[in-house]
Amino acid sequence: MNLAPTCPSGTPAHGESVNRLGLWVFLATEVLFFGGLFLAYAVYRAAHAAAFSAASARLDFPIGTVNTGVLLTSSLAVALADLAARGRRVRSARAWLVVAGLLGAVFLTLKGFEYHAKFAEHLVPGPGFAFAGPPPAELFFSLYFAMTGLHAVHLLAGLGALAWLWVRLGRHPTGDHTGAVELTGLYWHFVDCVWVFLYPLLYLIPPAP
Amino acid sequence: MSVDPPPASPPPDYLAAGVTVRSWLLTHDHKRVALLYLFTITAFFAIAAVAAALMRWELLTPDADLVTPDIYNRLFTLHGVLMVWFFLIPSIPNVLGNFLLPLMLGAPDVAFPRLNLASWYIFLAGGLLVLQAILTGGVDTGWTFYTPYSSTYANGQVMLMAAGVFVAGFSSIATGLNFIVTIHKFRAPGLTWFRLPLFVWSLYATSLILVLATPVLAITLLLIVLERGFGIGIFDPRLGGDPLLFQHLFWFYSHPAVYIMILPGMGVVSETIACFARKRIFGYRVVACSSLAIAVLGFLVWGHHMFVSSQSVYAGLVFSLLSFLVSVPSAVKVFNWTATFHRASIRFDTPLLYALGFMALFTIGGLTGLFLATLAVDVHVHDTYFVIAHFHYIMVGGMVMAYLGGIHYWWPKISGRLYPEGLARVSALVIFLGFNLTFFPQFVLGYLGMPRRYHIYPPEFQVLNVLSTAGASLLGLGYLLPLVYLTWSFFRGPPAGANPWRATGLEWTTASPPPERNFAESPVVSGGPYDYPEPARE
Amino acid sequence: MNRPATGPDRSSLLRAYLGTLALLALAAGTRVLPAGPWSLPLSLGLAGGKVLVVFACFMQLRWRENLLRLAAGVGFFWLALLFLLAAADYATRP
Repeated sequence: MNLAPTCPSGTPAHGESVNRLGLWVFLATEVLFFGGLFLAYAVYRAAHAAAFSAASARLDFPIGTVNTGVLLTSSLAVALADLAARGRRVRSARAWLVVAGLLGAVFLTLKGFEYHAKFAEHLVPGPGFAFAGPPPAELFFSLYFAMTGLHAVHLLAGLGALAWLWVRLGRHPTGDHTGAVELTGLYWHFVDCVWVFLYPLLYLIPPAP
Repeated sequence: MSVDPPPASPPPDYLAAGVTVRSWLLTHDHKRVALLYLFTITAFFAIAAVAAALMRWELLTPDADLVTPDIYNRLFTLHGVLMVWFFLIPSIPNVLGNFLLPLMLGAPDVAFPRLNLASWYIFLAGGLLVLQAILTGGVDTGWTFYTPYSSTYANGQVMLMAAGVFVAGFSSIATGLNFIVTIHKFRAPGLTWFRLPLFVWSLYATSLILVLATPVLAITLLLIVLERGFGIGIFDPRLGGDPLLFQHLFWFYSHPAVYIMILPGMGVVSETIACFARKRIFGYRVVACSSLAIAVLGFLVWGHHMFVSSQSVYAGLVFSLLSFLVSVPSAVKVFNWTATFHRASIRFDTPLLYALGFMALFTIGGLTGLFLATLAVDVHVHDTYFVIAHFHYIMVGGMVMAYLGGIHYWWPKISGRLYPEGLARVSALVIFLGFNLTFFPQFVLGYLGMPRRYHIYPPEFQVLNVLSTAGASLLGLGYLLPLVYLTWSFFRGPPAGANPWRATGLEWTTASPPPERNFAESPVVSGGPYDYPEPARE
Repeated sequence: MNRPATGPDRSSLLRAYLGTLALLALAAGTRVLPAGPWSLPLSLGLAGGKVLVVFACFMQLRWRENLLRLAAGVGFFWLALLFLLAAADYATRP
């Protein structure tokens, strides 16, 4: 952000540390934003373990696992973009941003397939919900759609940020983009981390004994 | 660092720096953003106050003679939603905090000036959504949106209202984030943590709560919208969901929100007392740390709103005990303020009158809070006017008094002009009397068993209700007076000079009103915040 | 501009990436493993491990001031408070 010339320590390093702190505080708010949903999940899984297990078996385990790998790989790409930007290799940074963005799109596409399958199988909560099993299974699917949906919205925002960054780097190929790439990367990695927790909670519930 | 040669003429003050509407709506100046908030929340306060007036008018007689029960429900919901989220929460942080924080730190602006302006637009958008919800039918759930009523059965614009509060929450988060980063990174050279004014400490504690609690409210309201609008049932008991989970999430935000509303008030009181007692605040470090203690402990007590909700009785015991704990740092502040007056040369100007009013009313509100934190007593007075009286003593008796006190104290800095002191003292007194007449009878009413949220009541409660309505009229008059004379003072008041109170603090070292970038030169700090001369030497 | 040791180099990024993939393979394995009641803590622990690697290396907390580590931790700490006190209710319901 604009640092005033009269600022007590208006150096580039100071500006960097200001923005970094701002972004980490923002990420702390995100932890609590998703955290409310995680609490709901914990309460209901404790109360309806069998229903959660039965409902979770209907999720697409291979897609969930592959998607976790896809996001981790996209994080690596963003980290490599950051490394390239730090070394003023803007062309290489842009290429890694494209890789990361494509992987994000792959994730959303696979997610779309999974959502579509749930629609086809009447596993979307609401009047059309049909599941041969205990009724709290609908709660599981409510949580599934709320949690993965909220995550997907965050991922879309991340894709927007990557696109903005890509354009920005293209316009100023000789500029210093360290801060912008780093901050976008922090957000991207965080969204990745949310999924890393969603994966075991949604896809890795063992069958009820 | 090179120092520029002093300019030939002083830079224009922030009010004169631009007079077009555009210069206000696109400003990055924290002082102008503060004024934008001032106008906006004053408007919301007025709307919510009209709702309160209608309710008090209805309660003048035991029968329903002014509004229908349905309208009454919508009135108290709109009063609660607007007062909590669109007046109290932004009041001191976003008006006085925005204006003063960079000045007190010796900084030219907050850390993220554009985010600061954006937060006002977000706030305005949230407010407009709420107004639209009110105009298109209103909401009758009460400000707490309890499920399953709100998510399934309530008629009216629950989704729109929840969306408005959701959006406004992001302006809270933006402000909290901005303040935290500003306090960490933009302190003037030499301004160490224990040289910070107590108002800054209280803003820091408030910002922590804003940043850590508001997201939980956001997700909770989002879940209500998902459930009501899209059938994604999370709290629905028919699916095995738990409506109490909503209450846990809601109060995880809304109890700490009480401290969002009171901590900045405590900061204002500390500043005022130090200035008008002309002494360093007794036990400065303890008072500073008690703000942080309140911020943390305030997160551990939310279950005391749920004592009669079928929450586990063991959880009730834990929450009751923790609720007693949070009174300790609050009491520390009150005792230390009192001790500051010891052997002080005191000037009873308007800001101090408000601060004293705060101390008295906050103490009554806090002590009756201990009654409510006691499990057995709470069963008796839960959902009665006792609760209403208790939290209005904190919110109105505490926060609004502090807000008005702060507005008067820093008015010369904000406007560059003096207000009429005699008239101001009279209206402070009118507000104090009107407030007590309004709400003290409600303690009695609640103790006698009058439940809250009804538009009718048994005839034996009428005398106390008439007293309360009379007090509300006086209180309304008391609020109009400052609105009138401060508006007059803004245009016609005598010039104030840089430091009319002869107060310490960096904000008083620059001109009134301050120039756009606050200080001609970045100040350097070499001492504590309240270095008033000893009375003997003065 | 030369900024020594302000972030990870390429090889530490690759090592971190392979580490998270290994943890992912282990986590996927818990689905077929007869871990019973240990399955949830195990898979959550593996997720926590992945997140720690991402925080430390990709998000560069290893190279940053303590204030940032504090900011990163404070959200989780407050979330723990929410879980803890909500559990005080749910774990003791009759």
